[in-house]
Amino acid sequence: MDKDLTALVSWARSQGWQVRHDHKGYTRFYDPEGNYIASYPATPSNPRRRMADLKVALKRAGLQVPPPSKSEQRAQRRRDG
Amino acid sequence: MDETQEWAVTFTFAGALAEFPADASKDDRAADAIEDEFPPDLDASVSAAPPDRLMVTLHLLASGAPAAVATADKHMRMHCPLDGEVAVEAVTEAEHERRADAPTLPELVGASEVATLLGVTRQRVHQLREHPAFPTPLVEVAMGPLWDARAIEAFARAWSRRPGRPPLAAAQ
Repeated sequence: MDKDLTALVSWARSQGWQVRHDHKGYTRFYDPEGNYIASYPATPSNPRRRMADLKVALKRAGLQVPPPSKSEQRAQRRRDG
Repeated sequence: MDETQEWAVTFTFAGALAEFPADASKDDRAADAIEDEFPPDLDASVSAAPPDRLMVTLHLLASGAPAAVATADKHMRMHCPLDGEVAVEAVTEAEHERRADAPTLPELVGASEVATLLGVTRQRVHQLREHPAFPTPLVEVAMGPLWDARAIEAFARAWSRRPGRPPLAAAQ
């Protein structure tokens, strides 16, 4: 599974969301009340675009995303040079 | 004339979720069916925002936001079976990706972190809460108050510290 998707699945589950992988290869996200919100296909035609759609949809449906910690920000600055 | 670039156009429908079966396991298939109606190059994606909002996002090239909405609207009329449109928004792909990666929460700090930021003790932090310019906590939980770090940093920049006890009149 894509690294971004793995991280998003892990975070969503940690926040009480359900994530299921179905027989079509879709990764489907359900909010803590069990409402279907959005999905990510096994082989999206444009992964970056589809991932942006997914993140925007999950946040609109209430998935909270904290800012990176200070140490993560420092690591990011190092990676960016 | 605007340069042609990629846009993400999102249509919002109210009440559309009511058309989906009550069984949540079937809602995803209803969303797939709507996505499948659109030509693949539009990269259509359907998502829900309970209690009753459904969003359809299309991606296309256009010379500006009005042109992007007009083109997307033509596709919606041709391919989308939903009624009850209440909003449409066009953003550039770059803005779409910026929003995708933006946090939804501010950096939260408790009394210990506030003490460190201000260079004072935790007890002093609780005294400072009486200061009229001191930020109001975003939330109060059993562990104590939590503030937006940016509000504390703004307070720290504007705060004129005076050594010693405050004058009697100010203390009263």
